[in-house]
Amino acid sequence: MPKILVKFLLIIPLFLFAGCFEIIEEVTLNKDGSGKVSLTINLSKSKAKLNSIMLLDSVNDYKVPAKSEIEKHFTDVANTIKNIKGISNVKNTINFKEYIFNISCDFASVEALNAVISNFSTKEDAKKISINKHFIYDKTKNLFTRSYHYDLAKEFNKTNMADRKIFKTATYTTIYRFEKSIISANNKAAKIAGNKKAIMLRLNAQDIISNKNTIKNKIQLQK
Amino acid sequence: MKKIILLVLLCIPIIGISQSLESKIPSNAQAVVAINGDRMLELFSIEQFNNLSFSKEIFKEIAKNDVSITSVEDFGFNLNSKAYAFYEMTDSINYFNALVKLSDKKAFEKLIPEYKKQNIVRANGLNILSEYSTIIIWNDNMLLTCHGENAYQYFETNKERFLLQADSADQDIYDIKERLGKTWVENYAYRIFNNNPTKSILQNKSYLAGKGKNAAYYFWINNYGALMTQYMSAISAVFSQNLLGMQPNKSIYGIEAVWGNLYFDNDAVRVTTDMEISKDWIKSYKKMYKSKIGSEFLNYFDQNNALAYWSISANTQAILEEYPSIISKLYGGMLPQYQEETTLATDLFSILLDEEAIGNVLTGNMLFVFNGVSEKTVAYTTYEYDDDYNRTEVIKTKSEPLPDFTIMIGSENKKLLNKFIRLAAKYELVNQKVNYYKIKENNDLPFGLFFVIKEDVVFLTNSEKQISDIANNKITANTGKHKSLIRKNASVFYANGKSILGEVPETLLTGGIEREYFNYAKEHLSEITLTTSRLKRNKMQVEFKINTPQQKGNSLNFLMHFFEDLIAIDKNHNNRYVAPVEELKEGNKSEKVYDNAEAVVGEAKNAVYEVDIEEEVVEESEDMLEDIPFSVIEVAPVYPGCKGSNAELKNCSLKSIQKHIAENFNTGLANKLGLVPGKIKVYVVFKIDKKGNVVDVRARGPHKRLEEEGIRVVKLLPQMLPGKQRGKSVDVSYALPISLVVEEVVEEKNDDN
Repeated sequence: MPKILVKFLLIIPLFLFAGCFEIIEEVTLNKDGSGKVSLTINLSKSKAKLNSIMLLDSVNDYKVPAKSEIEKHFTDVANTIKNIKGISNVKNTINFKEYIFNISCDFASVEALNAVISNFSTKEDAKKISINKHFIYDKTKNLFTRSYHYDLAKEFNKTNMADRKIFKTATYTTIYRFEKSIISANNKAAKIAGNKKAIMLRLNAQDIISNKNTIKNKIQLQK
Repeated sequence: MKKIILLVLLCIPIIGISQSLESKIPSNAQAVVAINGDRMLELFSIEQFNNLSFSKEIFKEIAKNDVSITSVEDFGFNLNSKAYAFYEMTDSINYFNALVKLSDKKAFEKLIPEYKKQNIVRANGLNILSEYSTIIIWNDNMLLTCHGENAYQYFETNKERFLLQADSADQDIYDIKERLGKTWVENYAYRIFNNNPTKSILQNKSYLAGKGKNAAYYFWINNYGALMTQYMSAISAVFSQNLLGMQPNKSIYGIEAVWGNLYFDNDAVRVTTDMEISKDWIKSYKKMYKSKIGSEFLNYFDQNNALAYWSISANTQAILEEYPSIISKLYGGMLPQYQEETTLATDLFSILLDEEAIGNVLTGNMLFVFNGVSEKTVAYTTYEYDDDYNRTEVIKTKSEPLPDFTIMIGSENKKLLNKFIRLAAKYELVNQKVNYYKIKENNDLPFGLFFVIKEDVVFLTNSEKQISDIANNKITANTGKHKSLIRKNASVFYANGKSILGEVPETLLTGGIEREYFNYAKEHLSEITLTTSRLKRNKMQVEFKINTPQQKGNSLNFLMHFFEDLIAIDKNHNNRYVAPVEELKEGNKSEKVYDNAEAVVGEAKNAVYEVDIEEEVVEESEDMLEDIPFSVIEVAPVYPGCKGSNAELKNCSLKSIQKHIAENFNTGLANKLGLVPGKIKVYVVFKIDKKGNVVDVRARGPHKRLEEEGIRVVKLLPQMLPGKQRGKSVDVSYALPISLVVEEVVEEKNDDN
């Protein structure tokens, strides 16, 4: 009974679900090319709507997973990552109160990160990734590159209108921290910290999708 | 086979031609559906229906090469009459049948696909088309179709007997079943068609009892319980398992006859379903619904603050008391082998529960009210970064529109509830605020909850203001018509579509089409009510009603235009984002690539034709001020889907019209009219009026049928954006020559056999 009741009451704001969430990608790079990476998805701003959605069976033609399913999914992802060469110390936290999910690990080299991404992609995409690597660290040149292989605009056009709404107010933030100082970065939208050891880029999903801005960046470090 | 049918036909005497189809339905029918076409025509004329754009689409879909359908009358059915579908079951076979009056036999026959036409047997003024276990019989004014489904169970049980009836050694049970089934259906159909049964459905009191006056549709089921039992046992038989040990013909759920009526009133669409409850269930139902929502609820009901609500007037004590006997009736009927177990279980249930005490705590009366949407402050976690971009968590707030609701639950045991509250307070699950309580914020619920107990009712809301008003008696009761609705019925669900949609802030909408649907719905939606009545003698009624705006004529009229408008919104929207012109440019297989408004060449089977629009002034046009020829118009009418600059739009529209003509004109027609082979032209003149509609369509050509075809095709053009002259919308006239080639027809040799 309570489920039906809530369903009945919350149907109105529900179909107007415009997502507010942030994704934060943090990479700490050591001199030798090893480091730490952490990916956080924070849906706290949409907490109220998510609470309601979790009580439904499906929304927008997608089945709503149970909390246990989501937890299992994250644990599976963590376990897969653990087995990739060069990855260690995998941790994941799930906070259903605030809807904040985090997964982090240590890597021996950025190649391991590319391997992780390839692991979760199709064979075709994996090939593309090997050409357009997501992370490149050139030790000799002291150049850290963040890139990606997919054509975002094309991907976005594939999604339907209802799903697109979800990205309306989403933000993507990348923070990279280095042992050496940063000399320059070619992405104009990125800001270098006061201590020159960190660089932050915060973009709206809309801008990324419409190609107004990109998370791609080439960061030149000091010798 | 055909000879046998003929023989049978000649043997059956035709006993009179009955006028009423209804009198042909046997009294044994288990279910009947009546479609009162005559009633619907009173509300919505044939012409109105034909003019709807979705009707035109349907006609286009169904029309074949020789058959052009422009009216729903072209199907040959007599629309100003009643049509029936009925179901009769025997232990060996079930019959599904339909009876319709025909107004034009030839028109109907045109719809039959050619390859099937050769199977029609004609004798004695009757036409028969038989296929497997379906048979259609018709004469000049009546049509009957019968379809038989063999009862699986019957054949399984009597398998041995049937196998003896095999014609040859290699016939198996399936062949025999098929043959028998076919024969039974044929016999059944002839009987129904030619005779008036001595006992027709018109003598069936149950059938007659439920007929609604002025209903557009009526359905009757003789015994719902028996039907369901039979259906379930048939299914379990197919799976070779007597799953639940079903006993056929024992009514389950206590529902016997069911009647349904669909009404199109002036101000509402109504569907009523009446159910007859069997004797041994009546007592239970009556007791369970013996309850009334009284003033202790209704004093807190303000209809201005109730956008939707759901009321239940039930008697918990009675439900718990009746529950065991209901279960034993239900499962006892379904699982007789567990009779002892079910009785014991139900007795234990009775012993363990104190129905009266529970009924005291929860009377069974409930009222859920949706009060609307309001902005609430919500806290969320986000991050702040210092100068070195180190991340820290912070809590911020934002306001969000969330629904407000009030739940009223009847309870007569305040003492017990207070004990619970004290306990909850002890564990800090509940905070007391002055004269109401707040339930501690819980993540499972997206909002805070407040409650208070007053005079036999527990009030639960998620709005602090609301609970405070209730606690302080600041609510002014305003029940309006809802008071009697709620008190008269066992359950009422009500929603005011307009008000509900009015609460939604438009900023939450994205996407043009959503907004258009939303605004359209807001303008046209009204109230929806679903009421379940109490038991009156032995009948219960469920009524679903949608109010329709009275300015739009009767409710059927409104409904038709409603769909029309929705489809138009959808079409307009899809056309804006899809550019069919792109496809043309790609160069479709056999079409030439063209530039400027020149020939579009398509290849049809028999003829090669050209369509080009000559920019000539129309002779017939008079008012040059209001009626501008295409050649001089400033802003030409825009075909849906065209985009771009003015010149591009003009070009694109022209091409689209050409493409439309090319795709829709029945070119094969030219060869069937006995015309001299060679090139011919059909001229069609028409106007796109100020609203963008195609009007004043006229044609001239070497044959009337070609003229008609030209007119038909042009009339199918979609509505366009009207042309503009000096900023004002004007009528724009077109002259369209359609070039065709009549090919030499090679005469086919006739089959002398």
